[in-house]
Amino acid sequence: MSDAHVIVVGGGIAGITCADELAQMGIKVTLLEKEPEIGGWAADYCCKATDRCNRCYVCVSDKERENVRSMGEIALLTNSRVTEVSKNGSGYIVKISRSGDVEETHADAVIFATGFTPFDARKKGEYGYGRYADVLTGLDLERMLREKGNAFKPSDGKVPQSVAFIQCVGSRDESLGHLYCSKACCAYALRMARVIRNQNPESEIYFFYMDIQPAGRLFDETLKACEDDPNFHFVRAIPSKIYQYYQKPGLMMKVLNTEDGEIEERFFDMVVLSIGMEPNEENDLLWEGASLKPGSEGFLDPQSCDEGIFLAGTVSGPKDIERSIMDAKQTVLQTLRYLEGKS
Amino acid sequence: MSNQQAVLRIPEVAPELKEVEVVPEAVVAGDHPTVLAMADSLSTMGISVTLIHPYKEIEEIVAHMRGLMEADEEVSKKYAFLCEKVAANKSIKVMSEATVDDVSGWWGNFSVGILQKGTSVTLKTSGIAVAYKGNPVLPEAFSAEGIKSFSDFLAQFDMRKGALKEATNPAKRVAFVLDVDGRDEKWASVTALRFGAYLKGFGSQVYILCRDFKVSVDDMEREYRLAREAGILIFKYRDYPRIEGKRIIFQDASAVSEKAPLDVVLDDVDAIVIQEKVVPSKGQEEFLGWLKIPQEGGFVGPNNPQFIGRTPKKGVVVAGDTWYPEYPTDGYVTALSAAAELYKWIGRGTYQVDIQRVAEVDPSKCATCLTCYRICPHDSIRIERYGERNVYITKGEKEGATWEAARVKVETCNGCGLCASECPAKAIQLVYYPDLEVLEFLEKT
Repeated sequence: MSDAHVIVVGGGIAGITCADELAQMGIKVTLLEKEPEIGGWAADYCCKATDRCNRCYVCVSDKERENVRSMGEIALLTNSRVTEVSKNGSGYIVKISRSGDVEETHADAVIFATGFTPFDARKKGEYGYGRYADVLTGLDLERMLREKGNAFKPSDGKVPQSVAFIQCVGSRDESLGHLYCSKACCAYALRMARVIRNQNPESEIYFFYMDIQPAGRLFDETLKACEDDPNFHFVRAIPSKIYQYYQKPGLMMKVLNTEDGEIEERFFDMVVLSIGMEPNEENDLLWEGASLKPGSEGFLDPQSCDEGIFLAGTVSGPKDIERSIMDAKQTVLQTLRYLEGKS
Repeated sequence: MSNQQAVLRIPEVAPELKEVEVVPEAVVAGDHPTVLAMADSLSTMGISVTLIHPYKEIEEIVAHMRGLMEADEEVSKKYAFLCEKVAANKSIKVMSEATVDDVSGWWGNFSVGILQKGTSVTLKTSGIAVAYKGNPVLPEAFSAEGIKSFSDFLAQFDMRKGALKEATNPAKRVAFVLDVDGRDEKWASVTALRFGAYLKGFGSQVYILCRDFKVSVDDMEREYRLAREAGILIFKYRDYPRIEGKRIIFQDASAVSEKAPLDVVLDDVDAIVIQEKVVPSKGQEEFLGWLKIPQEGGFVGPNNPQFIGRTPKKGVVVAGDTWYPEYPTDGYVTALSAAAELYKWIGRGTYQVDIQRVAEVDPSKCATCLTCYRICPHDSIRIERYGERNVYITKGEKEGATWEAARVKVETCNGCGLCASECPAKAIQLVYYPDLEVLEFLEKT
């Protein structure tokens, strides 16, 4: 088992965790990443601490990335893609294309941790994403907070006074064929809303939702802190459209008023669309040798894999950082069992 | 540079790394079904496992989940299979009708006192994995007669006749009331929906009352839709429902008008099932106390997702309700992660004795200024109360152990010295602490 070689495809948080854990157990690991840098989507996320830590675990992902980068035992191949996986005896031959060169490597097991694709908010045309500068996605706000440190309106660079968060954009949506919950959006939206409130005590937050999904322990505390905040308004309704009046600043929103049941127009400085996760758009480049098949909702089905092929993280369904790490750990255990059974 | 600078005093202990052999053996103990998952996966990875459980037969470990196993195929598949596998695995030594009575020692050298049918036995082992079942407690407002907790309901339900064991006819109307005490937990939503769908098969009308319906579990959104299509009524309430005998009254939160709230009355409900709060059992509190494992509200819980199932005490992992109450399929994942963590510690035959430095506070100097608390990156130094002189008592320690100072959690301290270098009162020093006892032991052998 000690001379076994495992290839981990995808350098997001799940892939990184797999590589790290396997290397710690003394197994030779190669980590592949198609981008020039490992880290995946979580590398773009911001710390969501206010006056205290809100347990978003982005720092854990950052730290783990640095660990893997400096770990000598892991062979790290960036700018690399898998082009073919074919069975060879008890293992697999993996063809890796790296900046034009194609290499063939033998692996005893392959872990696919190829992640998700963020929902394209332009598919929800009624919210005007891409048309109005001040309509952001959750991912845009993550990047803004990470890179610039504070929230501002992209149109004029001013601090927004009223911000709306619209939940379940692209999730829990039968018409898009997305009959699933993305599991991470309630938590990230609430935490970032808290960050905005913390940065600007005068700001008002409107949170449009259907059901709030808990994320991990002590989430109730975050939720209570939001509910106790007089400038934080929870509205159990989803807005139908966002528009602008000619030559007037700000965004108008059409939404049900849950206080009197009337339809009304509301004015906001900025709107954040809490986009969910879609199956990775490259999932349809299925590798025949690895027999990867989509399961429910288009995410890959871990049961369909051939022996020696494993899935980790959001490739098999939406997960937050915490759950991705847990899933990766479980995958490592399966891989170990498999390798142990072979030797 | 002057030579008169204050120098931290570090006790003279030979700080060299020693490599020691560790026997790949572990004790898996507890009454939660996840002990089966841990025992099974540790055993397949080549660790010799002793399984300690309080029941007569291995089957009984999952007995309280029978109802759920009937209703949820995935749970059934995982745990029924595990039962057979563990029972058939000859390399797992099973001690039935036994409980853990006392634990002491450290990584690679624990001694576990076991009480089996009145006689006590002591086992030496390298690692420990435990999973205890929590106790269900109903919120006081809902503890009237005829109201059941989820676990009571599932345990007393007769699958063949679709009714409670005491009842003669199938339940006509069953109501599940969720989210009455905290909203962190998802297991109750899943259980209510899957079990509700099962009850539907007996012609029962099922109501689910909740604050928010938790769909952030695999396939839950689809099942939520199917359940509503099948006629399970799901309400979102505004204030906590009132229960009067067989009647439930609440304000519907999904009704649009907040000014003219809509009262919903459900009459003649045969069985009212309330989501219980799971509190740690006595065995679990004792166990964590013996090893001085820190906890929040009785659970070891996830504070860092890198270390699922792992406790700050090396060589000890936990799952089940000792970790945190979870739905059985999620708990299964936690148990496997815990087993992997234990494998990392004891599975490789050798380990390096880690002579770690930790911070120590001199209570006579500490001014409880909170500097250390603010800057500690590991959340290892705490002042519980200040203003008046703070009092800090950890469970399992002697009653009345008071600290009039900041207090270091030795188990999580990394010995980085940040607090020592910043402390204005110079009250913090670094000492070689946790493995001193290990070193002592090494010198003897």
